[in-house]
Amino acid sequence: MPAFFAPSVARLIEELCKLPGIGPKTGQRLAMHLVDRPREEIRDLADALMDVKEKVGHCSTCRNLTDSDPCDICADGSRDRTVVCVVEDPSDVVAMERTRQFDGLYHVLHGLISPMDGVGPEQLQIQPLLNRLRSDESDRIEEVILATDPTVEGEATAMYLGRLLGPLGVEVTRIARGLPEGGNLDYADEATLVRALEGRRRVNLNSERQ
Amino acid sequence: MPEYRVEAIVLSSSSFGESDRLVTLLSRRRGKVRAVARGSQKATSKLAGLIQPLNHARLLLWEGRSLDGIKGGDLLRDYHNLRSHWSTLSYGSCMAELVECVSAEGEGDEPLYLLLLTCLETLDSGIDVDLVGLFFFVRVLKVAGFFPRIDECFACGRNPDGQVRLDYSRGGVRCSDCMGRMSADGEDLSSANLRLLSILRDIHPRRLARLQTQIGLLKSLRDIVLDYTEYHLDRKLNSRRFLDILD
Repeated sequence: MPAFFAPSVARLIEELCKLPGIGPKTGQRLAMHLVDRPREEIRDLADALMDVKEKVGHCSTCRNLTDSDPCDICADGSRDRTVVCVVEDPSDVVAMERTRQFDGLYHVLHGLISPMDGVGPEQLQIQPLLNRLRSDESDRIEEVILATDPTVEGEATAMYLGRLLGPLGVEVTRIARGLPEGGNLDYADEATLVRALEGRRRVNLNSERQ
Repeated sequence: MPEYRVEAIVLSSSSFGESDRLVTLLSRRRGKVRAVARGSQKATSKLAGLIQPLNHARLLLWEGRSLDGIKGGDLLRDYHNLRSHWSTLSYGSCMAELVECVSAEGEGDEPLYLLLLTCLETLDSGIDVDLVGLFFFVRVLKVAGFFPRIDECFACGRNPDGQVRLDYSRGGVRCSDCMGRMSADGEDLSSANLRLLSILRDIHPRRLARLQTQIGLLKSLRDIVLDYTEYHLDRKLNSRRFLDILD
C-alpha cells in the first residue's frame, strides 16, 4: 500500500496506523485530511503532541496524569483528604469528576489484575498507594473506595486490595453495583439484577420532608 | 445472517475496538468459538453481564464472515461464590486458560466441556480448592490425550514401586531401577504423589469431597502436573503464578 504514496505520506500513514482503532483505511483518510490542512494547523497539532510528551507525567502522590506535580486535585486544599478513591486509569478520574459528587482524592492503578493475561499486582501502582497509607498522610486517610470495573479483573483487583489494605486500619469500601440510571428492569441481565438485589437499600421514609 | 444457539462457558473476554469485546467460549457441541459482543463495553449493554469470564450461558450467535457475533442469551450460572474468593477465582482462571489452550475451534469436545462445568460447580460449592484444582489439571491431561503412563515403567515394563521419575518427553514414569539414564526434562514423583495421581485419574468427581489428602502433597503434585502440562503445550500458563499469590 505505501508504495502508491509519496514516501513522506506513506510514513505518516504508517505512524497513524500505530494508534489504537486506526486501520489502514482510516490511516489513509486521516493522512489525506492532514495533507490538505494549512501549515499553521499542522504545526499546532505537532506542538500539542510534543507538549504532551514533554510536559505530562505522573503525579507523585496519586499517579494520575498531570503537567504539574502534585496534580491539581492533590494540591487542592478544599478537597476531603480523608477519602481516597482507587480507579483503574486516568479516564476513570475524569468520569468520577464529571459527577461533581466526589470531593475526595484519587489513586490511579494504571491497570487491573488479570490472571489470564498474566498482569499481576506488581505491574500496577499498588506500592505507591501502600506508601501513601503508611506515610505521615496516612493518619488522615480514613476510607479507601475501590472503584474498579464490575468485571472479573476489576473484582480480582478489589479483592486483592481489600485483603492488602484491611490490616492497615482504614475502612475499605466497594462502589455499588446494579441497574444503570434510566435503565429498564425488563432489559437488565440476570447477573446485574442479582447484584442489584444484593445491594438493595432501605427506602428513606423522611424523603418527602427534606 | 444465519443464527445458531450454543450452551457455553465463557473462557475469556478482551477489549476489542472502541466498545466491543472479543469473547472466547467453550461450547458443548461446537468446541471453542470466538465471537464479538458488539457494544458490550458500554454500561447499558445487555451483553456485558452475560459474557464475563467463567459464566455458563445459553447464547444466540450470528455467523459472520471472519468472526461470529453474540446477539443475546440467558445466563445459566455466574458462579458468584467462585468469583468472590481469590483462591477459587485463581483456579477458575487457570482452568479456563488451560481449556483455551487444549480445545480446538469447530470441534465439539463434550468430555472437556463437562469436566470444566463440573469443576467450576465444585469450586463454587466450596469444596477443597486445591484438591478440585489438581483434579481438573489431572483430568485435562486424560481428556486431551497426553496423560502419562504411570502404571508401568516405560523402560522395563514393571510396576513402579517407591520413588519414580516422570519423564516429560517420553510421557511416562521410569522406575528406580531404570533411573540411570535420566532425561533433562522430568521430575521425581514420590510414591504418595504417584498414588494420588493414580486416584485422581480414576475417581468420580462426586467422591472428591471424601478424599483425605495433605495440602503439601496436593501442591507438590500440582506443580509437577502443571510443569508436565506446560512442557507438552510448549507454553507457560499466565494465570499459574496467581494460584499461590495470597498464601
